[in-house]
Amino acid sequence: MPPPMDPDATPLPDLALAEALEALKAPGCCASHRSLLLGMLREDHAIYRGRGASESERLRAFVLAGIVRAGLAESAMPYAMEELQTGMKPAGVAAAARCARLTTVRLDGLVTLLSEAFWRIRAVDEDVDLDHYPALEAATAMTTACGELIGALGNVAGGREALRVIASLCTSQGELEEGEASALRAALAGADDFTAAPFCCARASVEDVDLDLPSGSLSALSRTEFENQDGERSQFWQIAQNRVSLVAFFYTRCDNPDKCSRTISMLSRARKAIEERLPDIDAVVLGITYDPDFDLPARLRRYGSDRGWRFDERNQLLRTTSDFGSLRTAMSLGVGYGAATVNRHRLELLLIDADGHLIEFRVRQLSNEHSIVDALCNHLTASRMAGAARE
Amino acid sequence: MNIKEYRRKAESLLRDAGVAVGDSVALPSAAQVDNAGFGAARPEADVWERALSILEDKRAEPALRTAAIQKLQAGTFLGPQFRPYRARYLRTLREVALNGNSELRRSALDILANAKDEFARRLLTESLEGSIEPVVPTAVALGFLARDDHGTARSIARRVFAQSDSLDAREQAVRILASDASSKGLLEEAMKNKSEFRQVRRASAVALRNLDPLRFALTASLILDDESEFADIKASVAGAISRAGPAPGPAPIAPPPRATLRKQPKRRMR
Repeated sequence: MPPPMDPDATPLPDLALAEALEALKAPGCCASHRSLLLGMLREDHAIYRGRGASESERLRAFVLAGIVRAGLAESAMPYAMEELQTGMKPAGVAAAARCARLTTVRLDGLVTLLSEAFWRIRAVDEDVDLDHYPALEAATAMTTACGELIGALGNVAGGREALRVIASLCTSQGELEEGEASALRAALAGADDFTAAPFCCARASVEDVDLDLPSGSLSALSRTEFENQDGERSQFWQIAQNRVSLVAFFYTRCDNPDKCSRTISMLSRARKAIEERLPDIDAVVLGITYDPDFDLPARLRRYGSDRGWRFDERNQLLRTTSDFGSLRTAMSLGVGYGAATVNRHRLELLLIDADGHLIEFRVRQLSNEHSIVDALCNHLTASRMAGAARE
Repeated sequence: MNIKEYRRKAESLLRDAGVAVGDSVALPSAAQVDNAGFGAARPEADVWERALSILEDKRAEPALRTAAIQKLQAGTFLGPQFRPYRARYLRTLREVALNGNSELRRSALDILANAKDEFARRLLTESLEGSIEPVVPTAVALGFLARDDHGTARSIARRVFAQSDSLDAREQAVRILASDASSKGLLEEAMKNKSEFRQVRRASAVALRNLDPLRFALTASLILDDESEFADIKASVAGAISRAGPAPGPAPIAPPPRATLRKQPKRRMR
């Protein structure tokens, strides 16, 4: 079976990478340039190919910071919010916070996201250089994730609200460090001097952000053959069997507990929630691995069992039996590969109805079981109303 | 071999591997620790501040700098209390990894590798690729890189496996390849190869079982049926099969090698 990635994929040579990164120096207001820059935040972009996870993380943080400097903070917010929700490394969270710091769109829950990120990252925070790649060890403009988060809280929540949020964080986390304190003083004084290129036609644009499934995705998925945790093989349509399908992507080696492990645990809870709240719904709950060569059936079974899965024909973890690359391309999955395994992936979850139509595609956001059942309820209500109207 | 002779040989091997035996450090005495200013009686913040100063001081005794690393590393377990010192500690470790003596360098890289530090990864990679002077022996560098299964050590591990005659380097290379699904063929060959080091063959068997239990079982059966195969290898393989069970465990994490201190066995040819 061919591996999901090109095993001989080598990282771009330094010169080619430098050329690609050169694009970040220009303001991002023209549509094609904006598309070029935002495309660099996709996990499968060539600049990340063949690189390790920590290297990709640094590179992506540099790219996001460059996109923010180019005046595209608002367009990059879906990426920044995913990072604020799930990022575990200071560089990525710092870049995401800088993006939030400069956006003028006030998004619901952003203050909560920023404060949760502060809580999560503070114990592992360190100096990061968002202005150079590779980072300069003695860069003068070093920053920290927590400093950027405080700056963002100051801008997003306003000085007094930021103070309240940070004060409550510090109650549980100890006193502010000097860098954090100076960032807070600046935020309170409204003296945030961080600037970027002026917003232009790029303002509030979302069309370049990869939040949709390409057409043909579900038919490609339907035709794909999978092997489950017991080694049984079937095509997707045979597994779904005209039932509502809840599908998420993951891989067992994911080292971010807020991504795959959390997703698979959530799916097992979602199964119970569906059974309790929608007992008449015939649904399958499926997890598909990004790393089918490594995630063999026994490994899938163990991973699911450790996260509360009760396997049966309606609850399965799956690996492709042939070329995962085809499915990845057809569905434009947000996953990149390093030398041996995934180096980064986005959160991707699909709700598909019994007729094989997409109910909802959730991307770059954490889901919980309640919101999934709510989405199913809404879909059923809408379907019944549409049916009644037809009659 | 008596212990003195063994020690002399081990030191010789260390020198050959680029480790300066003379500058390896003994632990400092309790009096030295107290005089240095980070004895147990002091408040932790003072101890960490003092330890950082000593670690940053290139002229300080290597033994004290080593003790400073131990103090600071213990501090990292205290989370929020140590947080104000963390960034400076990491900065200093990177400096030591680059410029410290061999033992300090190794300690610093050991800690940074556990933290999946990007600077350490680049330093180790460049060291193994030969673009800079070796910072630690090859097997040690591979062992450090192997701790990150999301890293990029695979191609280096393959090259080391193809080129190196060192038992430790080959063993560490195989451990890295244990997380690389495209290396099944290489591991199978190493497992079957009678001219390979025994430890490397065993490590290959573990790696292959982790990646592809079926392929491991087939290869193992070939070994068990081979009358010319070494008895100890047959016993290892049979043991692995009987202990294996149906489910492979998670990817093995390579332990940090104490590199070249082990005795080098002769390679047995068929």
